[in-house]
Amino acid sequence: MVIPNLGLSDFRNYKRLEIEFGPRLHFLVGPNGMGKTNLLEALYLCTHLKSYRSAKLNPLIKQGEHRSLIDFHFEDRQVRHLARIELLKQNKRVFLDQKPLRLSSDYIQRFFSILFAPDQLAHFKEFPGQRRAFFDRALSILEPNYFAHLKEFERIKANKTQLLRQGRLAELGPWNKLMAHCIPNLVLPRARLVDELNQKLGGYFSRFSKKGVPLFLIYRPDLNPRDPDEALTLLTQKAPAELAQGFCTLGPHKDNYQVTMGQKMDRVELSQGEYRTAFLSLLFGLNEIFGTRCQIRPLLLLDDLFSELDKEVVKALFGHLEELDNQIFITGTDIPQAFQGAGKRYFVLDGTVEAAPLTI
Amino acid sequence: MLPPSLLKLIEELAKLPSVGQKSARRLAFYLVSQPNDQPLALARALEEAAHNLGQCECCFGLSQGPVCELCQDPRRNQEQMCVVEEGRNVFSIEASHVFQGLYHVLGGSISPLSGIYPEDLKIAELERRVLELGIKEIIIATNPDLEGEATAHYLTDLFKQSPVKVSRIARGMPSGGDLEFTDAATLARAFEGRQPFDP
Repeated sequence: MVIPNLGLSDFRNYKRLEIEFGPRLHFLVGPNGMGKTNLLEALYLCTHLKSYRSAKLNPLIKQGEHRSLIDFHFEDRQVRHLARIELLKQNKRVFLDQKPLRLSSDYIQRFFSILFAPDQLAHFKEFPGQRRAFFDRALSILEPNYFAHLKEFERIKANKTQLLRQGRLAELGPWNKLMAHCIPNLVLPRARLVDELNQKLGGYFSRFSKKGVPLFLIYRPDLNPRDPDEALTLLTQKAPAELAQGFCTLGPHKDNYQVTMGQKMDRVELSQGEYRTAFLSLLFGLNEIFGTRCQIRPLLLLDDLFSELDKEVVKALFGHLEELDNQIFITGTDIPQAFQGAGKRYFVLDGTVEAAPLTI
Repeated sequence: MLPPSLLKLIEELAKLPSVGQKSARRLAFYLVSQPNDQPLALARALEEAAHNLGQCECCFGLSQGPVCELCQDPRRNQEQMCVVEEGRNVFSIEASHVFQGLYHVLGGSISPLSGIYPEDLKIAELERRVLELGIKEIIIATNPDLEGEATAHYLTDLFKQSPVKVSRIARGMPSGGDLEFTDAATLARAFEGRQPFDP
């Protein structure tokens, strides 16, 4: 996906903005609090139809206004489309080629942004649910029917939870059967993706970190049955315990993903810089898989990319970003030496964006 | 300002499923613009239906009288019973002429999220009828959605210990359907449920 132009009306601190982009690398540069991240957030909305910073719509609308508009063209598989996202305080409307979009799910199963942002990294690091949501979103595009299976599982879980809350042990059977049938449809694609990522992670990590330590993503399914029958046996055995707790304690909604670096495990033992590099390796691995599996080039949105990364890592990153075909947006207060002379540059100042000369 | 009688008519029509305010207004204006006998014939038909139609005491389907014609028909197979969610499902199956047995209408499907549990459906009545009538086969024809499937599983478990054979209607491609316009979930089910082809 490539976005050649973007228009914002009453979005965050932007009153009105019309901006054109190239097909590759872009830098959004300026002091803090001027609107660089807001612009990145608008680009994220173009693929995900929601913000990564706010679950509510109200904060996205400029203060004192009643709606925001995000207008953009995008090119997908050599076809140019026109899209509009209208954000109101209570709901949003999306128009694709001037027709209202009936199902957001049809849209978000086609487009993707790979986001690197400090807040998102912190959430990814801290919360297993955030990591599941991250991979679920990617799998919704990478694996046919995954999104439908995920929605089906969530509905089964909600029904089962209702029975558990009411202490109806005898009626759990049908829902456990449906759940058992659904579990492999989620666990197997998750395991496949992690296997594929692990084949790529090492290469990226050694390139960025120059450390000879292997990096792995570990997938820990809460239930890993050989088949639905085995899943049903496990769910049935656990039913009394689930009843005591009053909610579903077993299933793919409890799966976990963890990052290991040599002997170091996850957020507890990895330094901030190490985790950043590991996460970037994961994102670039995922980007490669999008290309090989379904010929999709996600937008790369990299917010405050250079902080807490040493010069060597930044230099290696530059080498990799130069090789990519993706449309890339990087924000920062300045541009590191390694990137001087590369890409299109925009100077962001208090809700205005100006194409900057090549040297800032 | 609309006359009160017209307003009332619009409000009543707007309560119908798939009828919004705009459609209700259009229907109401159409009805009042017709000669008197036409809207009155509709009103009489509604009144008659409301008075005469009710639930069959045996199968809980739609009936004009205490027991429906299907339950009274001695030519029907008294050993097979088809279980459906709603009364209208009976007429869909009847239109196909493929089933000659008896029916049992549950009155919905199990859906804890919507507050519908087994005791809210005619499941105890189903057990009683199966026993009293000596039914040999139950064919579960609940909808192929999540709640319909859960209900089918519940009924299968319920009759597991009894000698009654329990079957479920097949799922897959509709007859005369086009692969191009079939959704992915239906196609997946059709492949899962494929059968040896022996013309």
